[in-house]
Amino acid sequence: MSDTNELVNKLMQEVRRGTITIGVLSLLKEPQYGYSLVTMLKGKGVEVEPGTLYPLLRRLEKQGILESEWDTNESRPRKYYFLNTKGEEVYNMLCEEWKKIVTSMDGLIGYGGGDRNGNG
Amino acid sequence: MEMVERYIYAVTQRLPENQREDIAEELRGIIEDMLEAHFGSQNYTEEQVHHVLLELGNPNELAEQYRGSKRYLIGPDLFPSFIFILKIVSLAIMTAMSIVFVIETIIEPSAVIGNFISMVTSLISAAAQAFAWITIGFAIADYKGIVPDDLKKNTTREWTPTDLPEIPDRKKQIKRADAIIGIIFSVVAIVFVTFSNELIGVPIFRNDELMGIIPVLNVESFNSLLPFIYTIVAISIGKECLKLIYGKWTKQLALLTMIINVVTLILVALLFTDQVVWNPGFMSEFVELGGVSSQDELYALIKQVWEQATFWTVIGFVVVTIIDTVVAFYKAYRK
Repeated sequence: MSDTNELVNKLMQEVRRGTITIGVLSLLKEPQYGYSLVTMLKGKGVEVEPGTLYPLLRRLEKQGILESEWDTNESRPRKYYFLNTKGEEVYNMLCEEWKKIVTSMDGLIGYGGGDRNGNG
Repeated sequence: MEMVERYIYAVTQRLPENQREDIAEELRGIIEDMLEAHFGSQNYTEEQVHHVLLELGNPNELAEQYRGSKRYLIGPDLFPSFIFILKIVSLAIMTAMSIVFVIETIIEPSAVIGNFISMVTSLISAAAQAFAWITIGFAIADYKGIVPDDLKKNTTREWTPTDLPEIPDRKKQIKRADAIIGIIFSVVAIVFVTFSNELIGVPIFRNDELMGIIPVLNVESFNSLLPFIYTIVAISIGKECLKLIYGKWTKQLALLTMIINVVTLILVALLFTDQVVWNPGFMSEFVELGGVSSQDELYALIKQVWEQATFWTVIGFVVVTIIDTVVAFYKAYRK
């Protein structure tokens, strides 16, 4: 049974990899710093490893869809990330694609785990 | 908090210089955020710091995530060629060393154990040298991004079926085995001149007994010529590699072959204008070992041949090179 779990974990990791980007972008209309994103995502039921998230933010910034700013007014300096206009555009398009995927997948695997033989 | 600085150092030292400071600063903030979220704002114990760093994970992996790519000495595009060349060269070295071993054992059967040990040590040192140089060569090629288009698997350009290579014309096809044998021959030559140049010479037999080998080459001054010889052999290995890459005779390859051959000839000519190549004591050793007196007819004949050795060697090189070039052009141009 642990073998099955391990396999499921591995496969789900691949599925999650792409969705995390969309999840992160969805939260960045308002500037956020690294750790606040981890807690916000966790609050929504999306588990992200910190080791994945912070490098991801930098990569998205390098790709030109995020901006960043150091805030030095608080007790400790924090780097805030937020969507720029290009980022918003990319995010909206990703959402469209995502909805299509959800519809297609629902069509394939059925909803609510009902008839899985496709007879219904 | 020393542990935190050690962690940050471990991550950032694996990153490009210009990003280090920024990422270090960000990581410091993140770690403090995590500590505060888990344990509130107080003086944190070492155990608590441990806990947070464990959550952040292996610094090596984190750095890899930041870089966004794995680092290779020799990337996946070049790796198959690298292994291929390593195999050829290993084969060549083994062949060369075995030949040396056999010759030495025939000359002196009693020293078989000593010869064997010296073969093994030479083998290890030659293999290490070869491995190092091949790796350095490929690593530089990889670092500089010199990867032939044929080897690039992840090309960004869109692929179309017209990109498929033509089925080679059998008449123009270069047999891989030929090129490989060429490389092996070159490596055997290099191993010989490096490790056993005293064996290249004229064996003298008297009463069916081997008296010794008179070296043709100037054993004392030979080391100073080695860089020169290495260059010549390296160029010829390069030529065979070109044949392997092209895979068939084309006009371009014929032209390259000609250029390489001309360069090689010039180098060979330069090598032989310097008379230090030959063993200066050849004739006197011949008298000593062969029991021939300097008044003999045989002596006169050998002396004559010996004195013209340079001339004939160069002529030999010229002829071989011309044949090689002509064959290349013939194969490239024939229909």
